[in-house]
Amino acid sequence: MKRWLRPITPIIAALFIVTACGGSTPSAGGSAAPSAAGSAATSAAPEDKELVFYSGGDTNVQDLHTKQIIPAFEKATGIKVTFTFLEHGTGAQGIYDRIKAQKDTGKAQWDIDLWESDTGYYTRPDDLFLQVGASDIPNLAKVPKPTLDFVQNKAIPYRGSSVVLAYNSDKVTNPPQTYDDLLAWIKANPGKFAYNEPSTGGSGDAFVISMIYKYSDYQKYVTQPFSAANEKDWDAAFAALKALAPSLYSKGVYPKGNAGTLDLLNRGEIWMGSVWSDQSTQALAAGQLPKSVKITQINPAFNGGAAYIGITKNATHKQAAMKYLNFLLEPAQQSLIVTGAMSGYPGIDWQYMPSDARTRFSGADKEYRLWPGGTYGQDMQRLWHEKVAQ
Amino acid sequence: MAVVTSARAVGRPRRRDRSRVAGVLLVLPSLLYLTVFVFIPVIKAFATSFTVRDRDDAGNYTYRVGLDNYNQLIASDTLRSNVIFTVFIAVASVAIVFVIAYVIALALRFGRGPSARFLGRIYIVPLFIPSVIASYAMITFLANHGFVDGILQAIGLPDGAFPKIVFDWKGIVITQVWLSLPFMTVLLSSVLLEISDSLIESARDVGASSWQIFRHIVLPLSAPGALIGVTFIFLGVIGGFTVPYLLGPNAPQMLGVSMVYYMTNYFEPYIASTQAVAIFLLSLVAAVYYVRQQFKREIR
Repeated sequence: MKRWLRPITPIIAALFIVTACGGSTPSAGGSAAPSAAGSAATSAAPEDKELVFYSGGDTNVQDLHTKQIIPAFEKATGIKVTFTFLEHGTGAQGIYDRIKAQKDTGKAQWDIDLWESDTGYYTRPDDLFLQVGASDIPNLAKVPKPTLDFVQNKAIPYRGSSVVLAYNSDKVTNPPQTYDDLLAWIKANPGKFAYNEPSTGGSGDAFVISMIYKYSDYQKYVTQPFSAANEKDWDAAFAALKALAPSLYSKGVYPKGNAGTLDLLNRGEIWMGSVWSDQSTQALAAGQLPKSVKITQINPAFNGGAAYIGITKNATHKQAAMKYLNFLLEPAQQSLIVTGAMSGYPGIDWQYMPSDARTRFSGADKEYRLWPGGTYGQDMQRLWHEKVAQ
Repeated sequence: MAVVTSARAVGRPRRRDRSRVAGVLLVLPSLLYLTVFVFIPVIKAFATSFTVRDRDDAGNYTYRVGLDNYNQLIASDTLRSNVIFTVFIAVASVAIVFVIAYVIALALRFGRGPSARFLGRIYIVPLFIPSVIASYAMITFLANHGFVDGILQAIGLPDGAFPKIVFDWKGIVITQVWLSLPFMTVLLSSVLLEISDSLIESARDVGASSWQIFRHIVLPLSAPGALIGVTFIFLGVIGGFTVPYLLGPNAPQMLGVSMVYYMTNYFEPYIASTQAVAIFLLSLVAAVYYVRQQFKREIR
């Protein structure tokens, strides 16, 4: 026993040191950044020469802004962008509180101009974000209206992703066109379709949500506030899902996580599954899925969502902020999102996109439906477990 | 343990005051730690489990105090089967770990030759493999059309005849057994080492068979230590998350997984706390036993 442990002790000690150092890096970066941003936003000129932009998310979001969009924007306009990035929304609430504090103390000029974060923040009753239209940002005319209505025009959608249908083209020559087609296909090909457990990844939720929209009116969910009464329609949807289980992979095994479905597709266990547009396209590009796997979108579509950026209501550099967003919505910049490492959908309608961007999502370059999430999402996941899981 | 030692030191009358201060100072850090990270959270979870949340049609919440969460734990098919499933997995895992670890420990204690030496080196390996890695390894190893199924099909097992192990209770039990085995074996080995050779040799001299030696000497002498190991494994399995999350079925779920779902996905912290109390009460059974065994040792 002891002889075993002795050579390992230094390794364990080294591991501790490594993890300790690794943990300290992001906090150091985070604490240094706000002070730099604070000093940048002091004066307001009639012609804005700078812009303060706070963002969060994955590192690919950071790369998109810092390596591609911002340098091109600075070159085109001469406006200097101060960009502060907080990974994975850490401290998003803190940023929100900082903006709110400036409103509460009655400051006329707020020190954050642009903020990219979770959709829910923009429409909170605190009313911290500027309502924008095509007169402020001309390219907003190209953005599909539902995605703007979704946040009451208080933020602009500049990239998105949706759930799509992935299929093995060696086995499936005629992929289903509608949700009913898909259900018929699943029953005709038992064991060859899977959707992941809804609580573990959005691509599983989307399959369940499509069933809910089959039995309950879609408009109720995107135009009206939450009402528990709408959930009465769900019983029929869950009963249909339960009845479908024997035709699913392994007679009703729901893989864990979005990656679970991709893994089954990759191993040839299933021929079809609901997957995320960006995740599956990236996996295809990286060779993690065989080339025979293709994606398509059914009609009406699976749900998806957009990532938003909002202008704060009393932003110091409002004009610069609008310019940045307009620049971001140009087809050239939108193409970077679609064809680059992000594999995102554009914020503007597909029809304005160049053809090389459209071919990347050929078959799935369509509008998606929305899902309000929140309390509906929580209830849907719980009820699925109670009524469908086995 | 620190409490007991310092309490004994108090016995001497002359250095009484100084040692009392020292004793308090020694206990203070661990007491603070326990208060902040154990007692307060436990009390909060208890309190939360009696908070009942009602929701009106527009989604506004009202709160009151009541036993509804506990009623739901018993009345809801989903929640009740989760509790039963958790106990079943814990008992099954512990029983299998105990039997296998005992056999290995016996081989290590009484076995001679290269195979016993080899076993002595290899059994410890799972101790150094994180449960996430072990779980993913088990998935690729035991999945339908996985490694084992592939080999069996190559030698003639028909496709589809391989049992469903992954995404099933069997997957959880196998992985928990695999992960717990080194700890249990180490513990049992040290317990068996305490049994002196002379005792066994004298039994053999008066004509006892190997089975009689095991049944009347080894087993009774190792039982108290072995049962403490059983307690630890039981506690580890009953509160587990990673293994049941990755390898378990969609339903029923073990309480650790279900609790996380209720907390983070369904936004039902009150039901989650009630499940936490259920785990706590189940663990208490094992903990009380452990404390009693320790107490007996102190007396000795």
